[in-house]
Amino acid sequence: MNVYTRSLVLTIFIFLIGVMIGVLIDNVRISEIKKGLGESEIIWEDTRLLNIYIGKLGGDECESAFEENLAYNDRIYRYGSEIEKEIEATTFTPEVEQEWRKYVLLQFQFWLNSIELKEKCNFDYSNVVHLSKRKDLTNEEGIENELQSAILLDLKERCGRGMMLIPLTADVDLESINLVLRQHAIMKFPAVIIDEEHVFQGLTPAEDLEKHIKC
Amino acid sequence: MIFDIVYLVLLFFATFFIMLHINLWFENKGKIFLKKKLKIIPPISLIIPAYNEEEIIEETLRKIKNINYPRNKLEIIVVDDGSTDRTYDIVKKAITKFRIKGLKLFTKKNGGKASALNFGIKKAKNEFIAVMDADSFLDKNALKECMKHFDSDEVAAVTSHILCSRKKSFWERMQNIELMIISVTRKLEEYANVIWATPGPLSVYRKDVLKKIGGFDEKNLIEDVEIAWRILKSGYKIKMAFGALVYSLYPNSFKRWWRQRVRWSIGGIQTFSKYKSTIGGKHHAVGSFLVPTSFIGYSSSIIGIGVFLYLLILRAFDFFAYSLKSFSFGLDPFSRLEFAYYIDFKIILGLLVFFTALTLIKISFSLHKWRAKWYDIPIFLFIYPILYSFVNLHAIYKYYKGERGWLTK
Repeated sequence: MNVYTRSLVLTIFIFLIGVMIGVLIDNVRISEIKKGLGESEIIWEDTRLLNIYIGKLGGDECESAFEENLAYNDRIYRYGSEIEKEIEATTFTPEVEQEWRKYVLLQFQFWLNSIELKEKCNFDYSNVVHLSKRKDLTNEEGIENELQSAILLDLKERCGRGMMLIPLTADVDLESINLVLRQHAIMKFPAVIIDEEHVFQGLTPAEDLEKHIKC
Repeated sequence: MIFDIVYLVLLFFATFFIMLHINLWFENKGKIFLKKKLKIIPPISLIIPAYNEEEIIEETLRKIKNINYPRNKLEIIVVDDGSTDRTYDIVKKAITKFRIKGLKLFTKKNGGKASALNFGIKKAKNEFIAVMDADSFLDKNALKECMKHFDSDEVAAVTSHILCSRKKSFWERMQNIELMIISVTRKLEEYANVIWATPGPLSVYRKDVLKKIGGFDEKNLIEDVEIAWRILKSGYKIKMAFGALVYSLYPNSFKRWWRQRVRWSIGGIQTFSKYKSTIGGKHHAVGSFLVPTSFIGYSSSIIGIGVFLYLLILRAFDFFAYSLKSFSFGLDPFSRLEFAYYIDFKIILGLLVFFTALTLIKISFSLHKWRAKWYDIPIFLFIYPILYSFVNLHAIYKYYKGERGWLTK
């Protein structure tokens, strides 16, 4: 083997090592995401059972169910932003996309929890759903998504427990999400649904949203 | 995705060249430091082309006096290439002042370095032609060290181990690190017979080969690279004498460095254009190695900086658009700014290649006594190569605009 062939083989070897380490790091990331989502699923199940319990035994435990729901929301929100960054860094494991869909379902479950809890316990917080697209975004759409997030996070900071913020990804091919989009005839993103009735399509300023949020 | 592919392709080529040199090092490191004996001392004609060198030429000649080479076998030819300063007078005085035996001074109409060298070759009477720059200082054994490597008729040229004579300014230190690395890579390239330059500070040639291939190309801005390619194309070998130390003056300011490198880069394009039709030629290093690698070198630096600038401008534009929109919505664009970055396989690969490159740099430093300042190495690794991309861009622009002048002095 001449020096050129040997150098080529070694170069390929270095690239393979790099790819192998990359796959390893991706797998570690996936297991972390799975672990986090697994814990969120337990909390969700816990909150769901608590809701059933409250439904059967009366409203004395409403406050505790509310706290549980909030803790659940905080946790999945944190995992959501983690997964989002990790998806960008993950090259070799398409599995991470599946984890994202699972995350969207957990957020959807949180939304349903919040609706149920509000009805049963007569809470007056606002459910604010932020619908956005993730795939094939133009620069303009990406900027509008980020801005809508920032506007809603500012509102959440101001309203605190008076507002439940539920970020949902629209283009994940889930029937539950597709139904929401069809029902509210949502065509443009970002979109915001407040208390399941007020729908805003496209980037919406805080003033327009505030009018409908019981802050 | 397209940028990832570009990144990986560039990284692949970089890794290949680093691995080639590391391979050559491990295969030949025993041979590099083998002491050779000079059995016969052949006569040499040492040609010094000089154009407006009044500041340095006297010092160069003073040091030449101390060269360890038999005076009866050393002919020194200074070719004043139509200097407009006192170069000619200073050399004339130095002949009597230093009593340098065998020194001949000629003057001619200005025609560029290559024409001065060809003029000197015509005047030279010996079978070996040593060429040195007027601002270079030879170690006393440099010529003997070079001559030890003419061990077969196939060896048409031997080049030397060049370092910076001044290392005070930042730019000189950068160039000295560069020269230290080049000294090792050039020696290693000898074993693959792909030495791509016989640099001006000191190279020795067989006169009959120079005559046979037509001497130096007077139209080329880097005649020392072009002649090396022509020698290899003609089927000869070039060797490097690691023990032949030469100290040369290099630009000590950014402006001078830039002008010199742009000139070299234009010369590189000229040489590439001249030999591009030889690509794929299996019987010599030019077509099978030097032409493809110089093409890869130029295109990598241009594509690399192009992608880098495109992404930088795109990100800056995005942030600007985001900021404008944020302000129009009454938001602070910096309030939710995050600088999170996750390690992915591209970074791992980049680091792997970086560490293999460090091996080569470590080898270069281990063979030299000079130590750089602590911050010189990171700057040399991360900033200095980026400058070359801009140099190449500027050179391509100038080349296609037809500005192919000497650019210095």
